[in-house]
Amino acid sequence: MTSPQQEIRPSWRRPGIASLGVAIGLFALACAIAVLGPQYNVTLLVTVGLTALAAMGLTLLLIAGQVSLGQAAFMAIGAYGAAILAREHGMPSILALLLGVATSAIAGFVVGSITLRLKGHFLPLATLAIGIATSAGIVAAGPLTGGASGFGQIPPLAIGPFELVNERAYAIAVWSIVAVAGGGFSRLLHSRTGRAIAALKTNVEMAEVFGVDAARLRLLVFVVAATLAGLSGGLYAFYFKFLSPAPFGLTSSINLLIACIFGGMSHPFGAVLGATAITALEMLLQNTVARMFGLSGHVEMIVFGLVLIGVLLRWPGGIWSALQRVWPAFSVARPGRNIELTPSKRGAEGEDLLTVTGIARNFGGLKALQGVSFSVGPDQIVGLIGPNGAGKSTTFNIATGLLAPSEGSVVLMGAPPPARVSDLVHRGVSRTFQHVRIVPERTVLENVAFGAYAQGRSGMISGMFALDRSEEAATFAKAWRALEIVELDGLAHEPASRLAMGQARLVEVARALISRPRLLLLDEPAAGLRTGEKLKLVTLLHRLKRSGMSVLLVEHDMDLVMNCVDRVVVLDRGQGLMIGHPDEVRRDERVIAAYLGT
Amino acid sequence: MPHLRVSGLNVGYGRATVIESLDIDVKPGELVTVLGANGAGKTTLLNGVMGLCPPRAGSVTLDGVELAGLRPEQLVGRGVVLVPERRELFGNLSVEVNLRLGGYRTGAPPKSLERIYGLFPILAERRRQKAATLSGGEQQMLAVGRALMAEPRLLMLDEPSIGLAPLIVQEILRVIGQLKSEGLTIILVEQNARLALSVADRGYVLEVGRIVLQGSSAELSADPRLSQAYLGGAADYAAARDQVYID
Repeated sequence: MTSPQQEIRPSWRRPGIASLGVAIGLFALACAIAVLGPQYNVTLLVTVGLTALAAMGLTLLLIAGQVSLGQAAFMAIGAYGAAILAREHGMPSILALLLGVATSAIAGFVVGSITLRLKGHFLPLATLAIGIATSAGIVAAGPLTGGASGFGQIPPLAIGPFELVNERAYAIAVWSIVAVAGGGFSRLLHSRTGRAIAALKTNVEMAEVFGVDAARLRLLVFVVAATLAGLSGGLYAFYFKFLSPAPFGLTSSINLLIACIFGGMSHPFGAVLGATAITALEMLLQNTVARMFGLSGHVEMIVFGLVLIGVLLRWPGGIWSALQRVWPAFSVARPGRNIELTPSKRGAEGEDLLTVTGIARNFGGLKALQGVSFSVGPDQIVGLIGPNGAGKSTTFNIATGLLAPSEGSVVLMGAPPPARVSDLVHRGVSRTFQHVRIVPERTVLENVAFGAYAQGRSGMISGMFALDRSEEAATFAKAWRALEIVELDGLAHEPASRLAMGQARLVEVARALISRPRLLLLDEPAAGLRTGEKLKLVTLLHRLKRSGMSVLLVEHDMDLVMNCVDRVVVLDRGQGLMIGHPDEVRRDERVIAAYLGT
Repeated sequence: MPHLRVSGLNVGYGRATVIESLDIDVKPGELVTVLGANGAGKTTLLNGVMGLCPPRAGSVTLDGVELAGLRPEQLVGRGVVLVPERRELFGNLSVEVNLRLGGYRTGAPPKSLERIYGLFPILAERRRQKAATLSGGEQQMLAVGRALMAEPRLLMLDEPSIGLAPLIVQEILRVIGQLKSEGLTIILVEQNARLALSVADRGYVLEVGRIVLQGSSAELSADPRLSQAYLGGAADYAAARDQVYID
């Protein structure tokens, strides 16, 4: 299938090119309207562009699995910050704009640092409160902000001697920013950072196992969202030259969320679509339908709501999901040259990679684990078996530092388990999960590529502007190789949601492999595989062992375990029942009674 | 007793077709197993029969009555019940409430509950416990028990042995055997072919959405085409291990 003479080259990435095309197209369309349209349309164009910008930030948050009901508050901070600096302090307006945006970003940082630790419904509630507090604060701070009567006479935006007074030019400037942000964030989706953001939404713990500093990345996304809102607000101030608290209230935050959901919250262009569609719908209802049927404002709102519901019933993923069919699927060509995935050389030569000594763990009054000790040496496959509920998963979690033991100690690659889960992969440790944790909406190949997160360097900016191409080519070459190893390369470009359970488990194995572990922890990798596939798994594990990797294997298929591992650790009701060679374990009366049966 | 006929069944997701013009036949009181590789379409077949993934073509009849096109809850009302692959228990509800919910559609009488506790005594002990706190084996028993509360005429089990300790697998298997001896008609989807063929009357082998092999359990167990890919034993595992060190 692979031709050896081909070189690894930066992959041809169609969604990136399509994003660039759409961004240029949007910009060209906006320019055409700005230059040729009537004056009224120019104002609309600016409004739509600014809404799209703020909504795009919110979409990024949604992609990372967070919801904010206070996005308009950050618009307010950007708007008032820029306006006050420009009018009251006579600052050059471009500088005022930048400082306004910076203030919004800092506010996002502060709010994010406090609220992102909250779980479940608390983040939307907290941002809701902040949104309300910000509007109230603007009214209360009358001497500074003009309060409810508003803040006027804002000077025009000027870059050096050049004043942006022409509204048509302003619209073009706004849409050039929308185009750059939209194109950039679309490109970002399929970059190292984009994969991490998607992983964050699927499962935080899984993201951390592959080296994502979840708290930091979540905060970064929140700050980016606040920055975009601030920029939108600042540009609003210099366009309308008058501010009042009303456009930045709770209703606006909710409208932004509606724009995101309506347009499609899985893609930045969904925000542009949503902002455009909602404005167009409002205009249509106000100018045409209402006039034609003589409807009052309230009836108009009801019709607006019905259209929203109708569209979302038809396309639950928003308008974008309807267009997604013609959007090119993400794909990366298989590299021509074969690369080797070798385990890293972390850990001292000849020393045990993992030693647990007398570990115990209580959950409330329940003793899940008591006095368990065992070790995994270099080039060793160790099986961990025992009845369901014996404490295997707890042992796994303690060994990898996800859980702290109540008693006892763990030495992992010569040191206690790292305090942060995201450092685990840097120790040369990787794992799979008993309950499969893959990103359902991404392709199989991308899911595997995420495993190389810790080896990558490129961040958000290089992801947005395609400065990561050689790193990405190397990552995807490794991902292809890992998929070939587990023999799933035929499914590389399928969405992961379509995999059968056993296939999904093998994708997890491939993802763990490309993080180059020295110690691999596998939690029931063979569940859902038929015998032929299990045999291949045994061959694979011994190949890995031969290449210098050690494996800790939790598995219930005894034919597989007994003929694969070097040593078996048997747990029963939280205690170590025995450790031994497979043959000894298989004959042990206690193991037969507790676990194997006849 | 019910007779299930599936003919020309076509099921898929989105643009992808997973199973195509598939025929299977389950006679009254039979225990039929469906074997197949990962992704062959076993779960999709069950989902298609159950109406969870509505068939695009073909027919599913139970005693001559067409079922294709019915919604899952209507199928439960007609005695077709699925124990899903991931068990799909109501984790925050107690064992007993989970069981009662199994009889929601059919209005199971209280004695059904006693019958389930008789089959799985451990569930009686745990009746007040939240389902999420059960061990994997107990959860599988609860999933089977919940399905039985609907008083099925046709019971479909999707990989009941997955992730379970050998002793628990034996226990689940014992119950499946008992249900069969009571005359229940059963479809058993399993990756553990040896296990499945040890209790089944007949079997089908599914590959890439099509039936490639069928026959009685004895015939399939002896079929060389099945031997290594589905039935391999300790010696095959040892060979798979040793081949790495040969060269």
